Parts: sequence; C-alpha cells; structure tokens
Amino acid sequence: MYILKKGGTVRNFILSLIVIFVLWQVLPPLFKIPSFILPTPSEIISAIVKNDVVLAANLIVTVNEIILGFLIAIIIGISLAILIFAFKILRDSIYPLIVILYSTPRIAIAPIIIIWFGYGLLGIVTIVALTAFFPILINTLVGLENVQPELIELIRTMTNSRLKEFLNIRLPSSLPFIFAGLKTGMTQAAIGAIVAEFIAGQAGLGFIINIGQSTLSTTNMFAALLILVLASLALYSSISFIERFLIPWKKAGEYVVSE
Amino acid sequence: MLEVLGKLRKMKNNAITVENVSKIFETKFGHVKALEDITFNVGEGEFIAIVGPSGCGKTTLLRIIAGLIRPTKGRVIVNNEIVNKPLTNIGLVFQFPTLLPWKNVMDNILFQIEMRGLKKSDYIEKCKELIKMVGIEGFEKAYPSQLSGGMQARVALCRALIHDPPILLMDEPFRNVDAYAQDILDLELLKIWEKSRKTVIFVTHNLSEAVFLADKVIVMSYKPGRIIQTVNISLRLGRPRTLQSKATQEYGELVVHIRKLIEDSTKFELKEANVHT
Repeated sequence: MYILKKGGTVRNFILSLIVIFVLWQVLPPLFKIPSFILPTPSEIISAIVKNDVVLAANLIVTVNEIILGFLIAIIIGISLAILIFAFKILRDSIYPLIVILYSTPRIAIAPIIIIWFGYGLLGIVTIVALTAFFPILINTLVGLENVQPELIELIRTMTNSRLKEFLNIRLPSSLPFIFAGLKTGMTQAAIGAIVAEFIAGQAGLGFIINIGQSTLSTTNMFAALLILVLASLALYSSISFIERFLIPWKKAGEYVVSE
Repeated sequence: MLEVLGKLRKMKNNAITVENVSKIFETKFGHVKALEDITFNVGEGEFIAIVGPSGCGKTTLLRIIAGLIRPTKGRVIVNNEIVNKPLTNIGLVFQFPTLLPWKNVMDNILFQIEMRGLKKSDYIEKCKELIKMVGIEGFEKAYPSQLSGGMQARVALCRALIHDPPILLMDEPFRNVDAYAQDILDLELLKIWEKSRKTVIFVTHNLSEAVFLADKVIVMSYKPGRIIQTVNISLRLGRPRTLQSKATQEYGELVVHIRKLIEDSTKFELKEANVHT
C-alpha cells in the first residue's frame, strides 16, 4: 500500500484499525443499537460472505464503469491539456470555461447527462469521465507550464525542434504533475460512478447501496460500501505503483553523495 | 613586423561581436535597465571573463549572446551572422547545473548528442574521458538527485563539452564547487581550451578565477550594467598558466586592479558594508 510509509507507520495504522473494529464490534450491542442502524463488522462480513456472488458481479460492473470512464478522461484530459498548452487561442477561449466548470459541482449535471446519453453504460461512463477529467487536465497543464526555464533554454541550444523539446523536456518534467492529477481523477471517477448508479444504475455497488436504503437493509449497504472502499484503494494504489515505475527519479533522492 | 601583422589578422577574426547592446526589462515596478551600451569583441579562440557585482547583468548579457533573449537595443554578431535565435554551435553552462532528473550522469551528458541527432554510441568513449577528467568516475549511473551540487556542476560541464562546440558560454559554472576542486576544474578547462582553442566567455564574480583563466577580463558596473574597463590579462600574464601563475606579482596586481575598479563603481554599497566590520 503506497499511501503508507514504511516501518512503524504501517504497524501503527494496523493497530488503530484493529482498535476501531473491536470498538465497533463491541459497542453497538452494548448500547442496544439495532443492526439496521449500525451493523457490527461481523454482521457486515457475514453479509459479504453470504452475498459474495452478487457483490462480485456488481463490483465488476462498478469497476468497469470507473476504469472505462477514467481511461476516457485520461485520453481527453491529457490531449486537451496539450492542445491548450500549444494554442494560445484555446487557452484564451476554452480554458476559462473549463475552470468555471471545474469550480461548479459537476455532480449537479449528472441527471442532464443521463437524459442526453441514456440510462445505460454510455450515460454512466460519461459521468465518470466528466468528473475525472478536470483534475487530470488541469494538473497536466500546470505541469507543462512549470518546466524549469533553463532546461528549455538549454535544449534550444541543442535543437530547434519543438517536438523534441516537448517529448524530451516538457512531458517528462510534467509526469509528477500528471500523476497527481491521475490520483485525484481516480477518486473523482469513483465518486462519479457511484452517483451515476444512484440516479441511473441498474447494477453496481452504488445501485446496491441505493436499493439498500429503500429496503432498510443497512447491513447490505455496509457490505457494498466496504467492497467499494477496498476497490477504490486498489485502483488508487495501482496508479501509485505505475507512478513509482515511471518516475523512478522521484525516489532516487533518498541518499545524497557528498564530496 | 610579421608577428604584428599576424596579431592584427588574428584580432580581425572576431568570433563574437557585441554592438551597443542595451536591455531594459519591463516589470511591475517599471523599467529596469539591466544593460547599457555594451560593446566588445571576442576574437576566435579567445578566453574572455566577465566580472562584476551581482545584479550587474552578466547573466543577461550571456543569455543575449546565446540568442536566448533579445536585446532592447544593439545586436550581437556571431561568426558574421546577427544572432536572432538560440545559437546551436555553443556549449552552455548555467549557474545551476540544470540536469534532467530522470536521466543518469552518462545519459545527461549524452543528451546533448541525442538532441543533435548524432549517434550516441560514437560519443560514449569521449563521455567516459570527460567524466574521468572532471573526477566523477564511478557515478556514471547515478541520478542527479544522488549527487552533490559540485558533482552536478561537473556533469553540466561535461555536457557542454561533449559535442566539441567552437564556442563555450559559461555562467559561474563552478560556483557550487569547493575551492580545491575549483582550481582543478579551472586547470582542466584551460587544458581543454589550449588544446581545442574554443572561444570562451566565462562569467564569474570570483576575480582571481577570472584573472587566472582569461585573456581579457571585462569589468562591469552595477545597475545599469556598463563596461567599466576591459583589462588585458595576457599582456602581463603569459600562457600556459599553472597554479604557480597565481603566485606571481603580476597576477596579484591584476586582481587588485580589478577589485579597485569594482570598488570604485560600488562605493556606496561597500561603505554600508564597512559599518558592520
């Protein structure tokens, strides 16, 4: 798990998790809280075991939506960022619009998207892509624009090809920014998928949570929620993993040789 | 007589001509005059040092010569052509090493070759030689973040030399190197220069380094950057130079002379500083 630091930090985190789960298991029965208000961890886990096939099927639906929408968001976000970076006219015209859209709660337009693109996969994936795309675009653009100016000056004494400059200086320099955008984008994509399922889903973990609310099967809602948390964590961690692989120089600075 | 003629001919062969160059920066505090009416010539194969207090526009001047920024007035001519785009026949070293963090030492040096569309494999031997020369053997595969500032500066020097450019533009290249290593690198630079007779412009505020390296030292004043005097070093200090050159009377006198020029032009600041000592 790349969100955690090594050594003692992991141990502390696991210890605190254990404490939380023990309290959660012990306290609700003690205070006679019924399980439709707050089910205990053991009830949630037995619900997961009991409904494993259903949960797995719905997990696949949701993860599928997240990944599809996220991939579309990456393609559109990064290429639009490059276009905005390259053409001043786009920067003056489209970019302000994007910033305005970014600062409004995009979830608010989800019902409109469903009207336009339907209740099927297309509508949901569109919502996912729309929520994930903004942080990717904005971070990529910031990365492309924040290259150390001396690096650009230096490569201009080597070649006058702007393509080489872009591929060899700007793009690699922006990778840390792009990955920051991808991580934010991934959490946004998960939110987008769940909201889309709330309003239009016929399957998926968000759909299960929504159905659970109308039938007061709180334990099932918690079961779906727990699976969702684990799935989001796995997706997020996989981006961190790719980041470590693609940006090895970020961790290379662990020791410094002195003269 | 012949010798004089030969000298005259050599003098005519200007590699770099800076003509009436002025630079005014527009900032939110108004116009800032960085350079005023700078004119000088650099002969082919000549080693020029530019000294002056911080903020005198030395770096700006170097950038203008490299074609990275345009002068507000005047022009720069390199090899009989007016500079209006970045020069590509140069080796450039900045104040900061400016290495690519995602490339190791060897690949950072060979980046110069790669970007010029030359074959990397033809330059690997030369790259290794340079690495040995600047004393960073064994760090070929290290990433910049694993190196000290001084070691990074040496990598940047190698990168500026690998393609054997006829012109070297250096902006305080050894400012992060300790004094002992600086002497060694200065000597290596002179050795390369004597062998290949590159045209060098070397910006520094280390006066003794300037005198030790250069044929001529251009002394600049502070705000706006003007040339106070061009001091001919080679007239009094012969070549080749060794560390013993630093022990000569001429050397000492030249350094004192230049220091005096700068002190006279910045009297106000030095008086301020004296209050504390």
